[in-house]
Amino acid sequence: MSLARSRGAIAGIGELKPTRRTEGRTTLEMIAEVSRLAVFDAGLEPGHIDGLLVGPQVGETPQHVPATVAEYLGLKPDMANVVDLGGASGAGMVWRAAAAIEAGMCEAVLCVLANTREEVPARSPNRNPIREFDVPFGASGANISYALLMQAHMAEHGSSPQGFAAIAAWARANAQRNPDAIFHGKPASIDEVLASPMVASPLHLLEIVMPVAGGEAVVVVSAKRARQLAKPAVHLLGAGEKVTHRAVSQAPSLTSGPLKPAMARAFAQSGTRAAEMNLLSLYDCYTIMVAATIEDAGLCAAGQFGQWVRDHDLGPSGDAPLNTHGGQLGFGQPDLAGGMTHVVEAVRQLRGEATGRQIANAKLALVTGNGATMSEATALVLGADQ
Amino acid sequence: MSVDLDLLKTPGPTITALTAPFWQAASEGRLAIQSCEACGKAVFYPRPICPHCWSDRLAWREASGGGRLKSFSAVHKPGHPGWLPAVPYVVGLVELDEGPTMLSFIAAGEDACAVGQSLVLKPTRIGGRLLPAFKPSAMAGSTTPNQTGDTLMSTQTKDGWIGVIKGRPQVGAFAERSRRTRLEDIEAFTEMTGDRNPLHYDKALAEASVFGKLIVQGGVTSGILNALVAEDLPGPGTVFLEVGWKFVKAVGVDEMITGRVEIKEVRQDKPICKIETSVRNEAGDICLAGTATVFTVPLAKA
Repeated sequence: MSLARSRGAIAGIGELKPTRRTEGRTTLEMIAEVSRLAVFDAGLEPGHIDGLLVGPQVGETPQHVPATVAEYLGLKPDMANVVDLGGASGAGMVWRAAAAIEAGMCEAVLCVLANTREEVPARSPNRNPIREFDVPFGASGANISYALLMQAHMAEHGSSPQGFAAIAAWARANAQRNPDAIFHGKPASIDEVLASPMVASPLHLLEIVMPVAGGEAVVVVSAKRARQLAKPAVHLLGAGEKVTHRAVSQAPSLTSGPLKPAMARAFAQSGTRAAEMNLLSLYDCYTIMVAATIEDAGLCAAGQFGQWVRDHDLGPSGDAPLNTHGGQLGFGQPDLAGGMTHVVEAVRQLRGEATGRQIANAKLALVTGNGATMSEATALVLGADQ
Repeated sequence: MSVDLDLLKTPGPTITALTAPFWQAASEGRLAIQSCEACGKAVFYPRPICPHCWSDRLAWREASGGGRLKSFSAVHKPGHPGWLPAVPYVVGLVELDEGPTMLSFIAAGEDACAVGQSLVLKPTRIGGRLLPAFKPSAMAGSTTPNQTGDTLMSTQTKDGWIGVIKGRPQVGAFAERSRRTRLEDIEAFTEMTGDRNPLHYDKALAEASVFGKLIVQGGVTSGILNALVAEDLPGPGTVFLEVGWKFVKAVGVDEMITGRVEIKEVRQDKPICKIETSVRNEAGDICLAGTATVFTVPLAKA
């Protein structure tokens, strides 16, 4: 019997001594302690860890689990995931880690699971650092966090409210070509955006997505298989991911986000450049998110998004089509499915199926995803079948 | 914003054993953060391991209370209904002098805020708790706008300033004085007081501390204010009756510092003033801020 080719290796282990009770402790604390054991056992430093797989049961935080754990540990991984396979989660993490490394997404993956066990169950389902250190000061929810990012951009670059509002106006304009969009039939001018109520300065109501119900799905197969199926194949040419923090206070930068390295990796893997994209399908929970992404993609210099938007036509027949479905600002945000709308629209355009808003000869699309407060980033370069 | 923040029904912190020292300090009007004894970096929020080097040797330290406003927002539509009576109120990202950034309540109107401005700790009662809020340091130690010299002014016509060498000062008058700190200052202060704190002598230890450098004794920093009041304003004969100083940022050796005093209130019947005091470093950062009450002994020969 010959040994199969190695598909990865386990280099370090950590384990906490079991206890019956953990009163007053948090899962995050225990994750930190056991992660430290494993990484030092491997002879690595925390800075070497660029992938993170965690379980879903981090008691203090129902959402954004990998980002919360990464921020707590001071990690900025290039791949991060929850693995939710019950008792199979540990083993399930191992092959996923190896697959991510083989895919060129990262080099050293921390796979960690830990739990607390209390006599009296936790008082609050949400006891993460944001709940403890932001909420008591009056900062709850994403609006305030993005307002802080926007204010920082304006202070650092002198960017104007009109520049941000133009992004919302373009989203509404493109939504007029998408009958399914929640704002179909409801365009909004720059002035109307600026006249909408201030939610958290300098952020206006119409610069924020409208929450809606909805659903989005895609099926991924091998390239070979895709060519045998009914529809034109749309290929994944490159991808990049980066998670830098969870709370806005912990962001390494307020004006440039983790999409910058994520997009750089996606462009490098695909051998493409931002300027070559036929469609920019950019995650747009707020106008500031699009502004930062345009700059982080290298489409213009830092601080120059406003001029870039003025200089380009972002419609489907323009020179820089951006969010031709209306983006989430025009289409509506069906919660987590909102991010998938950018993937689905890119596939439509690259197949040539975007009736009423088809980009002529669309070959390449950049798709971005963003989570929390410019914290969790994924970039994809998709290509039409040649 | 005229609402009493203390009466708001806002959510408080979810305190654990690990984070309790932060909230205990907060309840006493102080700001305590962790400091890594291995890599020397300050850590906020509290953790069991240092997020920079993963050492588990973290110690609690008193923060200077000084910071810089990285961004801010006036909240009109709060995420929690408990804040509704207070809108619009300002939250900000405060880069602490020690390095880490924390989100906090800014006890000032939006118009008084600017990205990049210096802040000082302003413990504020919100929702029944004392929280470590901040305010622009330009406002540090200043009295409330409606509280002018009138509060100390006597209706008596007697002039308490007769015989004072430089005479009665005017509200709003100010004076400044600069000097460069030297290693000899530390030694002179030690000679005088016996203070041989390693932060002033052990270069390696001091550099590994939260200060990152050898620092002069606080008395060396505040000493420039003794010279200011005695030499310049109100002038010869002046002694301190009371001081309320925050040492916001440490002063190192070979740093140019500038002290400033400004007359805020003047009593008519006695040679007593309330003054605003500050010491800044070369970069313009506030190192010491606060107020003082001074008495000027009449020394002029009749």
